[in-house]
Amino acid sequence: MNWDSFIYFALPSMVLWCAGGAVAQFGGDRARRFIAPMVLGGVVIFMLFIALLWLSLDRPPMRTMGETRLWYSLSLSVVGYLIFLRWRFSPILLYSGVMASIFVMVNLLRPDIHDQTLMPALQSIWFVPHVTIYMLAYGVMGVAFLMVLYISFRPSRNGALTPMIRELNDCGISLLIVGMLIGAIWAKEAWGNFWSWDAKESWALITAFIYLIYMHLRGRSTTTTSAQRWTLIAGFVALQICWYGVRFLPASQSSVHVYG
Amino acid sequence: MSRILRDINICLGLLALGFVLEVVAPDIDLQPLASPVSGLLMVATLLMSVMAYLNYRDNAVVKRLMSRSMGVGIMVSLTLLVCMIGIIPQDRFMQMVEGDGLLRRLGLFSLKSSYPFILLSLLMLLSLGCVVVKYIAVKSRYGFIMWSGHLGLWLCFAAGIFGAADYKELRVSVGEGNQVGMAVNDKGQVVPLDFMITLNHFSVEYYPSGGAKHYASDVSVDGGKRWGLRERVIEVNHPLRMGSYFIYQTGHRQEGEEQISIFKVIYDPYIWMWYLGIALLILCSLTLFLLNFKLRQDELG
Repeated sequence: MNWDSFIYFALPSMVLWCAGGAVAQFGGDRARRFIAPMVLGGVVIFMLFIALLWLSLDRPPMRTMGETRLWYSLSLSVVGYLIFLRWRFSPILLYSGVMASIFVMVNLLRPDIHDQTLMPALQSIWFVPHVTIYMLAYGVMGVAFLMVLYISFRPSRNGALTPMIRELNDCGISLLIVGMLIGAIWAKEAWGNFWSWDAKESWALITAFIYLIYMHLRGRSTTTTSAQRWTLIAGFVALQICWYGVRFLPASQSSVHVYG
Repeated sequence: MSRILRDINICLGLLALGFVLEVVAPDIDLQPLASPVSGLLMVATLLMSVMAYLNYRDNAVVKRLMSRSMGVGIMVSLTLLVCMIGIIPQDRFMQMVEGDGLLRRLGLFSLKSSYPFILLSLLMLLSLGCVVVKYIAVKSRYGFIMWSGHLGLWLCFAAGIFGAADYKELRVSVGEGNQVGMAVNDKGQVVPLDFMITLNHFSVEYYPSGGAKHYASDVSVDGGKRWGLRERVIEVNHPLRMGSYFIYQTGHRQEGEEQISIFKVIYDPYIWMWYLGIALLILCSLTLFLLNFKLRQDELG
């Protein structure tokens, strides 16, 4: 198994995710029976590729930017389906399917080098939980961001969808904080400091602070106010900077977290 | 919303005051604040929060300190400060390059030990302390989530702020078969260690591409009567602990035929606070995650 085989797994997954989303949004009652097999089929095929890549590399495929994109796409599709199951909110499947496919397309068009090397600091029991929890958090926050955009364009659904945004944020911030703290424990074991104000760490903290600001802002309000909406949008932007934008900042010159 | 804007302005004002102090009274010397002063300051901060809540919880200032709007104000200001840390390089090299310009005088290249950061952190510690006491005193069904999260954050920030004066980071280089009892601190000065390190054997394994796959040092550390003799293999992700000291494998180099192993020695007496704080934060996050679908905002208060 190598990166050249990715297209044989990526194309069926993308087709199944988007088809499942389209059926959920536009399909009749009979067609809707196929939503679960389509979306979950895409998830299984995608997971199979990740598992085979893991075996062939002889290390977790979590080191390069392209590898984290794999987990993000998987996380988006799984979280989208779970939200669809919980709230029967049909548009989310199409949104999450398209968003997951965009990240798969980026990997198809711009594959990164995926060699077997894993520097000693990454050979830690914290590596897999840190990255997977973070990617799951990114997926949850990605879906929350889609919901914020949705209510921005359809304000009439604001009240109905606010509980969903709230629950997504609570799940996402829990995962973000656990992922960040696991990273802190790992950093202590590897380098001796829980927190060294590396550019990546700073942006992880900024992201967490912005989502915590939203939690404090929302209070008992039953709708997502303009201030809350902009805070969630700012949180999503900070999350993107933390994930891949940080490498373009001057402070990343001495960062040990910027990976290619 | 007006209360939130008011508290954001208060915190931004504190931030501005911090930058003014950076210009008029630069270069904070943390050494006088080392243990036991740091411990006393920490207890004093905690007691202030407890006393403020128990005796003056109806006072307007204490109420404001415990309010969500103050929480937003502190986090907005800290976010701005951390944004600067996340954009502007914070190492000494940059300080030297920039010379004595306005940016350096404002402390923008050393923000993590600047007045704005310390002032905001102290305000946050007071605010968090009051909130913790409030949620412990006022029993509510999901109060655990509130006090554990805030207390976890308090412990981590307090350990970072008050522990800064006690924290030591030293470098040790030792060749195979040699013994050292001296280290180099962050100012380049040679200082004695409280123990002797002997490198018995150093091993390194490479990937075919040339990168290091694994390296480890077989060491004997003689800690005298206090810690005794320890024999262990130190490698990346597997440090050796001796009381509040930690010895890390950070690198290696070859000098002729000799392999030199490079260690980092950390002295951090407040490490237990970090671990306790992290444990509480993880517990709070997991509880929030698992109970998320059952929680109602009015129960969180």
